[in-house]
Amino acid sequence: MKTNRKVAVKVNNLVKRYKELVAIDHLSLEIYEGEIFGLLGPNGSGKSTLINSILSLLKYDQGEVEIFGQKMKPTAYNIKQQIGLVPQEPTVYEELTVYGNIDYFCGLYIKDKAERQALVEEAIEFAGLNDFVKFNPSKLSGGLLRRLNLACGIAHKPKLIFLDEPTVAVDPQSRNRILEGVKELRAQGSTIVYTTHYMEEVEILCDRLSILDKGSVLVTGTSAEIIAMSALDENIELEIYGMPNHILQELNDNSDISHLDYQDGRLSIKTKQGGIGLLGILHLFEENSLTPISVSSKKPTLNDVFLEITGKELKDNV
Amino acid sequence: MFRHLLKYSFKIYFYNKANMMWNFIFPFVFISVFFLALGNLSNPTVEFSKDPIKIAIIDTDQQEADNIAEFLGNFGEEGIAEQTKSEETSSDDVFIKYQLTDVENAEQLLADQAVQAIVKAGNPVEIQAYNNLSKVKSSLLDQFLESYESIRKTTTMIGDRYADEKFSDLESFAGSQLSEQEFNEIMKQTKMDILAKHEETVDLFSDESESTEFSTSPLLIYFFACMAYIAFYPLNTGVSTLAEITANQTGVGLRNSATPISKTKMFFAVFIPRWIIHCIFTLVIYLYVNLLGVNLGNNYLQIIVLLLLGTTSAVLTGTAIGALFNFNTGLKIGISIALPLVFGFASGMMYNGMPRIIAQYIPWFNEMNPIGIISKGLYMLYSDTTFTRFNQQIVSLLIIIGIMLIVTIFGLRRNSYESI
Repeated sequence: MKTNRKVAVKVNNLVKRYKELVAIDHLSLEIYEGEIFGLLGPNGSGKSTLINSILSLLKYDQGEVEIFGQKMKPTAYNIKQQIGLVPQEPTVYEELTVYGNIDYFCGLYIKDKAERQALVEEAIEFAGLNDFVKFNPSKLSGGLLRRLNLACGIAHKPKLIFLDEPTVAVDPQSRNRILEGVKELRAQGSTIVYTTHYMEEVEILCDRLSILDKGSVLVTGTSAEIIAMSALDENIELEIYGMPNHILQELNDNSDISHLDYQDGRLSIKTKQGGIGLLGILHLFEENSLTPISVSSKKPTLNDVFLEITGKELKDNV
Repeated sequence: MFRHLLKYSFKIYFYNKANMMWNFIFPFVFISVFFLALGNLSNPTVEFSKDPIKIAIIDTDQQEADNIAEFLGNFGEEGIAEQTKSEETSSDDVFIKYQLTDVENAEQLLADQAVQAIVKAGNPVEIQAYNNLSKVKSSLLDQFLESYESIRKTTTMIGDRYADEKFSDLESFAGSQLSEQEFNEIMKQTKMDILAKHEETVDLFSDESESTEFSTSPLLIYFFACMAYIAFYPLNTGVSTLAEITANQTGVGLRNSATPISKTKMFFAVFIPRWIIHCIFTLVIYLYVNLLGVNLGNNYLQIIVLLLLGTTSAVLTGTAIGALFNFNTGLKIGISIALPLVFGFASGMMYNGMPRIIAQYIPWFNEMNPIGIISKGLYMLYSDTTFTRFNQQIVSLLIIIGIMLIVTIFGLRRNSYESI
């Protein structure tokens, strides 16, 4: 799909090998300015490798990376100046306080002391760490630590932010705070690359996403586009007694319906997306003066699509 | 930005409790335990000039006895019984104490261990008996007597020439005699030969040296190695410095590497405060050693320079290991703890004969062992009268520092990694 939006990150035909293992396999990707772009993939799918390659921290075997239209290199300090990184694990100095950590990392980007002070205070406010500025990281809970990790990465107001699973192992309150913060960053104009295992986060947050597996992009698009692209069925459950056989036969003959089962007043139907659907079935019942006692419909979620296209087997051994 | 980095690097290092424990408290404990274990370090055993060679000279031939006594008077003093040196003699010049006596009395003195050797004045002069004379002292006594023989032969030759009327007149004979200035020159040379012999015979680090069983402060040798070990101890600081700025070693390394700061700038900003802190630690420990009463010698400035260069070489060796090798940080820290222990062992920290064994079988190892070099430098400052050999150790340390700095900078040039 062609678009006129400016490209923040362009990855072209990237290949990264670890000896025999191909971690990134001819991967191409475009991330637009101002969007939250989700990177989804099972463990070992190449998400972190991709981020480290984009940041030129990792040598890659083939391909090229452009950020804001400039070729990314390890010494491209003018590009690095505009990037914020929030690593997967909280990466802060135990010896420094909350304020000290944010000030330290912000100071690597911002020279002016007064400007830096204002930014640090803003980041503290943003992450909800006001009451903990003098705490050392070891005294913080998991959620606060994640928020400190986030604040260290965004305090200098970068144009491009890489968030690597920022909500792992945090309580719902902290998670919500982080998600709200990410939306706020986008509202301020930042481009965000967001990796996570939580599908609901992606559905809430991300404008677009790519699902990665074995170092390749399997699919890219909005959540709705990806769900629509999948071949998963809508599951419809109805409680209805005394179903006439001809109705059952009519449903069975419908090419949109892949599966039908009727037992003890319970009718289970699997119907293709965009096919007859729940409305079509209810309409048929109405025409035949049938009234179901209860109705439920379950459309496929991003999680279903993810499992469908990446496989259901355990991936930790990859 | 550099100042910002310097400030935080200092804070991060100084506020780290483990750093304080292992890099500051531990060396104090180590030195204290070493001090207590070795004991008597504040009054080290034998300083050569404070424990002169005691000999009895048999004066059967009075003329010869007087001659040798006159010669030895230049290097020591007469009188075995006196415990204190005469006021006229500088303490550094008392290498020998002698007593002119007859055979019976000499043997009695030897049996009573009042003297360590009996020398018979004659032509030639000869050592008749030893008792409890170390190899070092025996070797030095030989050197004294050789020098005496040499002077005597020269004098005899001149006398013989006169007797053979090879000199046409008395004036020319007078001209051929040793002037006072020439005599003093010979004395000076003899003294230097003696000192050189002393240095050579007690050089712990030479495979040709004598046993040091009774020589210069064997306990101090352990302490030299111990001080050298402490100076070289901060090797792990170098390793952790590199880990902190290298993306494939630690989380903060990854984060720091993603910032718009060049690796070299970041390295120096992190390295300099730690290096300064460790130099101060080393000086404080040296001060503490002095407060304990351990006399490492009076060349304070040279000792400080040596120790600081040792500490510098340690931190830079650590950074070179960190920059060069790819294995994980835990293993590198392990190596940085083990390496000083190995170097310390090879330098005589646990057994003072070790440097000589190393010199015998793997001499190159002593040349590249920084703890050995520091230890040797301390030893040479203590035992040598000149700085010649000490300066060689300084040069060796400077070479190690240079190599390690180059290796570190070269290793740091990698900005991206094969794996993270």
